[in-house]
Amino acid sequence: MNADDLGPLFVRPADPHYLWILGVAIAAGSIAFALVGLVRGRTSLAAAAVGLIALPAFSYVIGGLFMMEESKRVSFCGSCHQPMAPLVAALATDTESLSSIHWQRGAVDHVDACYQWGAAAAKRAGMTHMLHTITGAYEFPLQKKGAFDVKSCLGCHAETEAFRKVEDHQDRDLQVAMLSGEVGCTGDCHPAAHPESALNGVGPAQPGGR
Amino acid sequence: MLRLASALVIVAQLVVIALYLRPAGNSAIVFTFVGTPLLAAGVLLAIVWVLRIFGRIRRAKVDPGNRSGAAPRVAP
Repeated sequence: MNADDLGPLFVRPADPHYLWILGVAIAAGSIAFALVGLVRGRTSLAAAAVGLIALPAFSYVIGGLFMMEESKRVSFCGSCHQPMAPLVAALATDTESLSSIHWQRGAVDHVDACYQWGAAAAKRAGMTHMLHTITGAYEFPLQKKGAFDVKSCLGCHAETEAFRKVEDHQDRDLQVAMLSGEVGCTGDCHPAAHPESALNGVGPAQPGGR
Repeated sequence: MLRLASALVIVAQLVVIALYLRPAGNSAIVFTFVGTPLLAAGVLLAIVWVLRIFGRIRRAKVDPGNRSGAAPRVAP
């Protein structure tokens, strides 16, 4: 159901970022300086220091910040390469996996749902994904690497009454096993995080979010 | 050297502008693995060029051969 058809109450409030305007202005200034150097083959020391060293470097710092911010978006995750796109598309279509259940109930943010826990670790993982994409060093079906991150569930659920009332959650042995990474939430007691059909890297990139 | 540095910087800046205009996985990969090395090379060349010109100016100021009949003079 399209939010625009339902009325303004169902449209997410705009949250524009203007960092890109600053970035484009700095990059354009740097290009102007560099064009003079390229065409004339000479320039002043001050112009070279500003236009070929300071401005370009600052432009890339801004670009890096911009990329960090944009890479939080779910649409960004699905925009890049074949393996991730079906996972993102399944958020809006699948009805059984944990990720889609959370997504469709609005239990997670629809803009930056993928990596809202542990920004630094997520960025490190993102860089690894980039390298895997370039080198093609991945295999289908995709598999979870390492122990399941129970903290990503506890971040919201640990303090809810419904979660606390569940008898299994009160079992101390199970608690220890979960916190040590021996047992995870998904796949054992709860459905898998993503549908199996989305782990084989087929289908175009159709992000469910912005 | 200046022309090469300028060309590298221009290409690197075009890459970052592409990221601003279309922030997606592909442009992020190009920014990280193509744009950044190009920028590093361009900035490095520019620094070398600036230092060489700066050194040439300093040497010219203390070189008596540049001043006919003048005594050697060290710049303050």
